[in-house]
Amino acid sequence: MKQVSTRMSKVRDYRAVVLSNRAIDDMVFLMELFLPDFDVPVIPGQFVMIQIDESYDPFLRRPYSIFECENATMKILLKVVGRGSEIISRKTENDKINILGPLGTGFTDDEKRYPVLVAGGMGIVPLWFLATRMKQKGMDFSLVFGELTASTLGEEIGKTFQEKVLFVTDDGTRGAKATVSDALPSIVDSISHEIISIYSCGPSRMMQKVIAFGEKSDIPVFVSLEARMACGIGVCLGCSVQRKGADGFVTVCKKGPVFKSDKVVF
Amino acid sequence: MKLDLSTKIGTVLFKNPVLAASGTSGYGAILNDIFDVSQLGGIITKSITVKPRKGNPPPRIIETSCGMLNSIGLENRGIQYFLDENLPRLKTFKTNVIASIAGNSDEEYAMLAETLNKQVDAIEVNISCPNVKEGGMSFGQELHSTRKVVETVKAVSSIPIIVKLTPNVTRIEDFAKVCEESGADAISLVNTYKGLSIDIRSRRSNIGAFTGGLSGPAIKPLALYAVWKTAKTVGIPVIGCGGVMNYVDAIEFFMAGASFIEIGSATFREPDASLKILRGIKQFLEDENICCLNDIKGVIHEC
Ligand SMILES: Cc1cc2nc3c(=O)[nH]c(=O)nc-3n(C[C@H](O)[C@H](O)[C@H](O)COP(=O)(O)OP(=O)(O)OC[C@H]3O[C@@H](n4cnc5c(N)ncnc54)[C@H](O)[C@@H]3O)c2cc1C
Ligand SMILES: Cc1cc2nc3c(=O)[nH]c(=O)nc-3n(C[C@H](O)[C@H](O)[C@H](O)COP(=O)(O)O)c2cc1C
Ligand code: FES
Repeated sequence: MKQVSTRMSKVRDYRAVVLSNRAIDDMVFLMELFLPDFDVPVIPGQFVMIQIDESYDPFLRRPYSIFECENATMKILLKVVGRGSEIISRKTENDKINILGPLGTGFTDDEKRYPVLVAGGMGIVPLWFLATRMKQKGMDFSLVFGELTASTLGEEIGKTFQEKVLFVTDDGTRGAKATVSDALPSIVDSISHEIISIYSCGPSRMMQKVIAFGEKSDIPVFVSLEARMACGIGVCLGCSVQRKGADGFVTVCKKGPVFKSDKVVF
Repeated sequence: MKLDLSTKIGTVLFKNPVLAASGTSGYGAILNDIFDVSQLGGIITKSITVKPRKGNPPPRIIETSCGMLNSIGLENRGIQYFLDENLPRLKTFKTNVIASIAGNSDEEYAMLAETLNKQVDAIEVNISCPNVKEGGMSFGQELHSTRKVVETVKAVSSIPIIVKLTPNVTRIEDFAKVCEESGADAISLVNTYKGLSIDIRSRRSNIGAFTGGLSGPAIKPLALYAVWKTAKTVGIPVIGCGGVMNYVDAIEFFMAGASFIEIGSATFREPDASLKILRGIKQFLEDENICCLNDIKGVIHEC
């Protein structure tokens, strides 16, 4: 699997209409948007910058991974963690909202390696999209989903991807009582495929452990990173992370958010 | 009535007064994928240094009330890379290219200005970056250092020299005056205001390099005041910058005495903010039956 630059796709500020927005868990919202003029291909792992509203406070847009995208309909899965996400979560049917995208690099398929998707909490978003695409193509894969405690989101993941999903929870309420990183070695062992690659998104510490495991086991790991962003398009250099094995930084918004793990330190 | 938005700096003609600010527009190419940057009056590049600079450790930005702090630390790949990789593309746009330069010494400023002379339409001398340890803002905080840099750059340049001032001084107009005396062709102001934001849980700064520079609507009244003061003090064109978000802000700057405006952080909210502002300015002038910018420049009534 390689990363693809999104040179070809047209980045635009789209005027979207909220079709629906509902809480699926405590503080987690699934928002369905209609982008009338949107007709560009989207790659799982890409994201959009959502303008909160007309007000200058909060000032900046907020980055959100694309959860699903089908023609002019796009879904966003949003967790309320602060002021900006709280305001966005209150949007209701017919509200208008500005969506800049599609942005960044995404994941692409590699027929030669068996994909193992490793998600922690809200890190599921880009991997849900990737899994959906793989399912549509009839590809086989495994999806490891870890969270603190069994949630409705977890239930949805189970319903949608069924036997492909391996659950872990910190409190043991669904699947193994473990953290993703602790459970990963035995999960990978239990997979019958020899040649695999890992796609991961979640808390930084989780991804760091997943990378360490990948390095030890000679498994390529692709991670989707988060960083504070201002422009989202590569003009401010505000979102940079350290390059691995070289002096200097790379932008998460333009060169990422999906990176091969040997390219960045975070 | 034909609307004329053109303005000059020295002998160089700008088709309109809306410029994309340094550090918020890259080198034009990314923005041009989103809108036609050739419609702008000019594009000011991210500040260029002699050697590549990797910039400051993350996090480099934090949102604040009606604005943001940044500490990028002048990340750029150096003058040679700019000439080889960025400039050819920039030159294809039908707009003026202004190269922003930043040095650690008078010699570095001179080297940059000399190398870029006649390669671009004008140079903006950044003596106001608050986010680097050496050089940067220190050149813009001592009158004699400012004079020296401007004289040095002027001595090797035949294209217009714009000096970008820091507002982190007691009387910015004194610095503008020194620039004018030293031969500067225009003054741009303001660069960011030095600031701090603290994470009260970790008791650390929210910025990797500790302090940052404040930009956005939060600084607009401060920038407007600085522009008004400066425009009354110097005869050369003044370029207003700081929190310009829409055409109303832009007109305010013109009325305070600016001949041009730079659009910075507004680009982060809307990548084509500068184009929208330009259209808004045109619409306003047409609606008010004003034929040229000179008719509103510095017209604010002082009681
Ligand atoms: C590429 C990318 C994809 C993302 N995808 C999703 C997603 O699908 N679903 C989801 O719920 N969240 C996602 N996030 C995180 C989301 O952007 C933040 O939760 C959100 O910006 C928080 O804003 P706030 O105003 O509520 O929080 P505040 O903490 O009040 O925000 C203050 C500032 O910090 C920034 N910030 C805070 N948390 C984060 C974070 N985790 N990552 C980056 N910047 C942050 C904000 O953008 C803002 O500038 C993604 C982040 C990135 C970079
Ligand atoms: C992320 C960021 C990077 C910047 N980089 C530069 C720079 O390299 N050189 C420079 O002269 N000014 C730089 N600036 C300052 C802007 O050009 C402008 O002076 C300042 O942001 C105020 O305008 P605004 O409020 O419209 O953003 C930068 C500003 C921001 C926000
Ligand atoms: S957010 Fe501006 S360069 Fe990445």
